[in-house]
Amino acid sequence: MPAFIIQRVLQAIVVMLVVALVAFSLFQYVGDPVQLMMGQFATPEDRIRLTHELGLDQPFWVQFYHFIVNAVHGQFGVSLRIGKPVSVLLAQRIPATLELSFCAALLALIVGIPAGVHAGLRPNSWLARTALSLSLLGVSLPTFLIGILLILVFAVELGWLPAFGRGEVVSLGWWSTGLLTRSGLRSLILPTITLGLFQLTLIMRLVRSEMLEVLRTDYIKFARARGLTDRAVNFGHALKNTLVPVITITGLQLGSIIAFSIITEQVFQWPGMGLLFIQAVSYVDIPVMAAYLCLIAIVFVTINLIVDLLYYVVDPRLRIDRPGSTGH
Amino acid sequence: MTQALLDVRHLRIEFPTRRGILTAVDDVSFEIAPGEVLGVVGESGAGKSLTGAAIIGLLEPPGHVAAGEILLDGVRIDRLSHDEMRRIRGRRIGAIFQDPLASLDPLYSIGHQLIETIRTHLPLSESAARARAIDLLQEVGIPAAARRIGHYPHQFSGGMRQRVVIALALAAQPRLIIADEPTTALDVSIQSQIITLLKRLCVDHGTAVMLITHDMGVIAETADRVAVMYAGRIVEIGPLSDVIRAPRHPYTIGLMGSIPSLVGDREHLVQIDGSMPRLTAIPAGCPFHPRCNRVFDRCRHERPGLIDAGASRAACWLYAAGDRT
Amino acid sequence: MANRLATALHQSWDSDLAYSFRHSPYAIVAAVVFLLCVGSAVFAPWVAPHNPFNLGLLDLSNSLKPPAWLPGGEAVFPLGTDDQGRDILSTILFGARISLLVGICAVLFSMALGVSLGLLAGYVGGKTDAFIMRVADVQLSFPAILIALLVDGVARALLPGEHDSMAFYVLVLSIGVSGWVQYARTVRGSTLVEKSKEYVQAARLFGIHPLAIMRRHVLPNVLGPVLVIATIHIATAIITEATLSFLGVGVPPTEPSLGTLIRIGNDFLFSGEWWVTLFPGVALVIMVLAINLLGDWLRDALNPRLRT
Repeated sequence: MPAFIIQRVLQAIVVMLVVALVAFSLFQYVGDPVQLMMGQFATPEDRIRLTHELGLDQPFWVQFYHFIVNAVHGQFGVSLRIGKPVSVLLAQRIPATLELSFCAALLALIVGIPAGVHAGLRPNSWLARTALSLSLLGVSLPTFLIGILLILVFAVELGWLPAFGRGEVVSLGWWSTGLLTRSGLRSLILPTITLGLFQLTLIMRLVRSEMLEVLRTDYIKFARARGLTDRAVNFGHALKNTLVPVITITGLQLGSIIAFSIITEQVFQWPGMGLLFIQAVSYVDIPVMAAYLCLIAIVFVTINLIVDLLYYVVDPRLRIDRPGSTGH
Repeated sequence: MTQALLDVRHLRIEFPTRRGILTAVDDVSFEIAPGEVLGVVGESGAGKSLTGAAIIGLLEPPGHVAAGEILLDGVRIDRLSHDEMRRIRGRRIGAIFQDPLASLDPLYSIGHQLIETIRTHLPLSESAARARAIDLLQEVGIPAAARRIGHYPHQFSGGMRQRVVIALALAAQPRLIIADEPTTALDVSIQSQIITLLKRLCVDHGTAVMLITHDMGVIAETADRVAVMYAGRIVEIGPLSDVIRAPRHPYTIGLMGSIPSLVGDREHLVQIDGSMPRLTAIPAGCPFHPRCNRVFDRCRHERPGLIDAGASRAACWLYAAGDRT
Repeated sequence: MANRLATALHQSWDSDLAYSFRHSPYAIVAAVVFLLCVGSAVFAPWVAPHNPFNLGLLDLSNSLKPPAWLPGGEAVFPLGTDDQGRDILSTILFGARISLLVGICAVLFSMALGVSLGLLAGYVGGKTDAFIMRVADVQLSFPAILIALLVDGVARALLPGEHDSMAFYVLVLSIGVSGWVQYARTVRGSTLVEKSKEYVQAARLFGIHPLAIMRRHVLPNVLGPVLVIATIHIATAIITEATLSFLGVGVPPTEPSLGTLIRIGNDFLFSGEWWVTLFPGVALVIMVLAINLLGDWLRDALNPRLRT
């Protein structure tokens, strides 16, 4: 078991380093690092001093090392567009993105998994067929269009829900949450649906197809041949085997929710990291881009690691050493 | 004469396809007495597995039983509700399939799967069921059963897994077991162990077996009676020694002649020209007639039923009373 | 010769694939819709009622007219006009053109890249294989949109000022790079399977060049799955392009794609001119839906296990 974990952790570190390298290259070769760190109002003396401090006259790998050290401390320089330190900006915006992503993920899982299970068990029921057709539509609708349509119907025409912003937020220490106010919750609804719909349909289709595959296996046939109850066969055996591969893919999907939040935040002008990133790309605001990249990488790598570990816990084939020797 | 345990009468299994209706099993009738081992032998595609699947009610759609009856202890079981059939499965009719690794759910220990099966059919407590499971494992020859009961399928070797599968099939003490190619996926050295085990258990428990296989050697070691299937029909059925030593149907004669032998003076292996017809192109009359070296006119037009020929029965006009030309 | 062609056509009409197609209403409808989309997009300059990009023809007094069936609308602008007086229907036709073009080119690029890398990884094996698969794994742990955004952003940074004219190529590159992994994995899997088959080993013994082996033996066997992936990928690519354009980092408004049109129209959502954004949106959905349906049908039709 330890070997497995160690290997995964090492892999995670390698990925982080690669991403850091990409971000660092952005800093180095695209734009002027000194300016990026100091903003546009640096005097020539400051520039020389900083150049020496930053060690820009030093070999590549030394500079890379410094970059990593800085990154670990959250030092990514100053935003070219806004003029504030990147870390401050990010810290302000993270809660908005995380809250939205979390709600969307919850929606996708709570609706997607049961729908998929049902569609797998009863593929010919009208509910399953409808869900499948709708899911095809869901996969064909780009996220931003879903957002626009929702805004059109619920905000513009019906006027029930707000079309942009987070509503009132409550500060809990460093975090700000919209979950505790009525306007905050109302503002969450449309963006959550927008962000979660795509993932929901994906999960539903995945669970359904996995379920159908599992129901065709020999061990399900043998379970039926032993006269096990439908409940035991469908939920005890089929469902559990279905969920094992679903865990991996679902985990990765949920990670991508954070990326897709970029789009949703743009549509609803949701003050999160994604919106910041898009503005940075338009403006070619390198420090923000680099910082976002590293942050996202951490999130993804962590999610992947957790998923791997979960897999390990759930599937006994990975846990115990392969036999070969035992018994014959 | 004791009533037959299993009585299959004129079973027909059809598959609707876009090319029309395919008849995969056509007018198959046989009986299995309590405690008897009936070997069902034939090439791939002859309909053996489908017959077994139909008996236990696990025929996969679009295949369905189009005609005929299946009786267990004199009671029809081919038209039961889903739940009634489920209660028969495992408790009165069990099944073993070809690939032991694929037959076991990889996520549960074999103990869990055994106890689950036992408690589904028998009103035992958890600990009683567990004790019984350990007994079963010992009976099928798993060493250190009490320790290994918590192990997972992938921790067993192929032969051990098939033993576990047999234990699972016998867990609720069914009176009939349908064994579909139980040794085909195993190493040759293990095959005879498993077959011996199966035979011994069935004698001990008085369980009848429908042993489906394409391997004549397995049949020769285990069966009491043999049914030979060809193109969805039974062409010969009779006691083991008769069918093997004195086969009647030309197809069976060819089969027996094609088995290499270490003893005796067999110099040439018999080869039957051609191959078994596809289900979409079954010849009129006797389905074997295009390949038969004793064919005559009647064979081409009329399909023979099973005709008495000594101790066994053969679907061949050669044995019809009178007319031999 | 004509005889052989006729026979071939007849055989393929009779084949399993064609049978499945003829009997699936979804596939037929989807194919028809798709062909209509492609046709009208390809022939947009001739089919469109107006040329929306000829600045000389635009009349601002025509701006923001509603669709023809609403009060204030005119039949000559069936779907209304945008803020510059451009006919929506025409902009949609031209926009669909760009969207399709970017989508198809990106997929071709992705396919070429992915199939080659997959063949390489599968056939050569060893360190090359390990390296390529590692890169694939890492890239796979990031969503495609992010990769596309990143490549796009870097390209912008490297080509300041020229970005608009290069937008098309940058888009194809970024979407293409973000999608190669699925092809590579499938092709690698098939290559590994084929490589171990005896006839391939025999060919190697005879000294036949690896490239020839790959081309003649491996490639035909992977075409089916690759085709399914590609079809669905076109839909994804179009959506990705639309998304990038909507975000403002895709196709510029001078030659707008459907995504750009939606972005432009979004500004008018609150003032009640919903048609500027809705109709391009509907067009996009119809196109993508048709492609997805075709892809779904293709996947089921080519799946041997689902056959009766």
